Amino acid sequence: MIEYLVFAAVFGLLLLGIHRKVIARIQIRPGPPIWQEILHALKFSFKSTWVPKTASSALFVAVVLVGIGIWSAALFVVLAGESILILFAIYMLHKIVEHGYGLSSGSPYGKFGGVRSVISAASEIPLFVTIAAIYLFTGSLILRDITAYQDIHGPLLLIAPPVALAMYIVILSKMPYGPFSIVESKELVSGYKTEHFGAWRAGLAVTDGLKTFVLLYAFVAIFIGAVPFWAALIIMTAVLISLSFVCAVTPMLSPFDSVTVQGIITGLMLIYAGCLWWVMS
Amino acid sequence: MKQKTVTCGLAASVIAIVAACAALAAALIPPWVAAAVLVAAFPVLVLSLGLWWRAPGGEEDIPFIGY
Amino acid sequence: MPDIGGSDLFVLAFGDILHYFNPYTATLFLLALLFTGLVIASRPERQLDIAFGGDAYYAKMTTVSEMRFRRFMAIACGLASMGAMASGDIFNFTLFVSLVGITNVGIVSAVRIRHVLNAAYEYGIVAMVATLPLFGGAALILGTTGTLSIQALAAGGFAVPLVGKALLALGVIGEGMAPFYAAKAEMFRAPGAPYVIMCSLSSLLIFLRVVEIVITI
Repeated sequence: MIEYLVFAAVFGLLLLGIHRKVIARIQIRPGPPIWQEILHALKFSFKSTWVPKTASSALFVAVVLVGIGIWSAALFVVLAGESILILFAIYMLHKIVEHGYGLSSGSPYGKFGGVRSVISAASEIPLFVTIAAIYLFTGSLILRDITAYQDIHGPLLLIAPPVALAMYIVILSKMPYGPFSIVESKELVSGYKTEHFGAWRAGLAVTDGLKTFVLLYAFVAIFIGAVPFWAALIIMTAVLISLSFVCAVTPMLSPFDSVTVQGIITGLMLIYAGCLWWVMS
Repeated sequence: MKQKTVTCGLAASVIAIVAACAALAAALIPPWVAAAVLVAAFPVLVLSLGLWWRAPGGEEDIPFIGY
Repeated sequence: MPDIGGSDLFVLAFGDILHYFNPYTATLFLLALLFTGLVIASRPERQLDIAFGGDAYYAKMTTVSEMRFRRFMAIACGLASMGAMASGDIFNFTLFVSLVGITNVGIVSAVRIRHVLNAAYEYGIVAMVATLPLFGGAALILGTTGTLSIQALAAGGFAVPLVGKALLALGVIGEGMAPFYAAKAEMFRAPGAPYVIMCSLSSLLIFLRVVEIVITI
């Protein structure tokens, strides 16, 4: 089972590398090689490492462990076809982990990254709407049942496109260099990641790799259904490249605008779910 | 963190992961137990591997406060 | 019973009042336990801040008495969230949720900074007002169905009023407003990372649990 984790982390980092490359080519730059993020993770793991003097040391180290742990758990949940409500919970708990990264060091930059992460909690609500709408269609939130439903009725992507769009926006708000990535924007140095360097940063990179893989894989499993593993990888890459296009052509929003836009999207999704519920019951 | 602590963490996580994978292959434990062990041990493996390669060397420093 | 959090792993029944775990609530419970352990183990960070009018900066310290009180409140908050995760009875759940609200006020209000106290005061009012829909929702459900056991309600045969569910969710949202006020307080730079994280975590956990309860019953 360890091979799943290692593969997911490495493939997730490769996807993030492709993400950077595609953004660069759209912006007519050469861009880094696609394995750059993997090299970054390795490089950080070879750097000398300590805990900052002002940090809350137990928390500073523990959030890195918790970050890797929750996304490893999410990977197993998705692979085993368990409840997507658990995936939802882990996605939201990632906020707490980001908050923890930012606050534990005592750095003002990290702190503002963490605070931005909390105030942009609005980006999580579309995921809740996704889940509610999926429940209305399939009558279950267990991933196995959702795939079984799609075997009979066809992919949910065609049955309920707005729901897929909601989850797409949720994934977009977790992508680096995107319109909503205010938590690590450059005026905050590296946002919540500022003080996690060396091996801690390598752990963060592994978290990011796992997170990207799990979210994209879950998107494929929930909205397209059971496909062979290699096909899932290809579809994931295609989805990622479409996300890269969005990230490349949109500027990063200011924190206030980011929250407003996410709030509006959430409102629209809630109205859609309400209409859906009205029609179906 | 001391080199010894890091080595212990690394050894413990490797042993836990190998034992869990072996026990799963021999069908001694259900898959969810193996998954739980991996979820607990994999983060320790990642961090202690990084720290073990290049054990803590630098002086403790205050956070970056600006240029 | 609709299958949303996975099949039950463990059920402990005291007559009508029961406690249960499914994979979903067990995950949430373990995270509450983990972060409660972290609150006990970690000391607050020393927040760096600039001194206005020069290049100097200083590290803010948390006094021991303040740290003790906030740590106590954070541990109580962790225990209350664990209770809310494990409870299979709507009334117990609402009690634990209101306890989370009280302890969140405690975590924020121990800081002797004017802006932080203002935020704690405002949140305290929201939390108090939110107890009305919270307990009102539970009371409506009890009044119409005659039981508050989540498993009994989920088994079917009861028409759980939609307004009861909505009031329950509204109450939890009100109690779970703490992170927004805590974020506001943090804007004014009060140190104490482990405790503030417990604020956010407990609010998130009760919100995640009420989603499960509202879909299940």
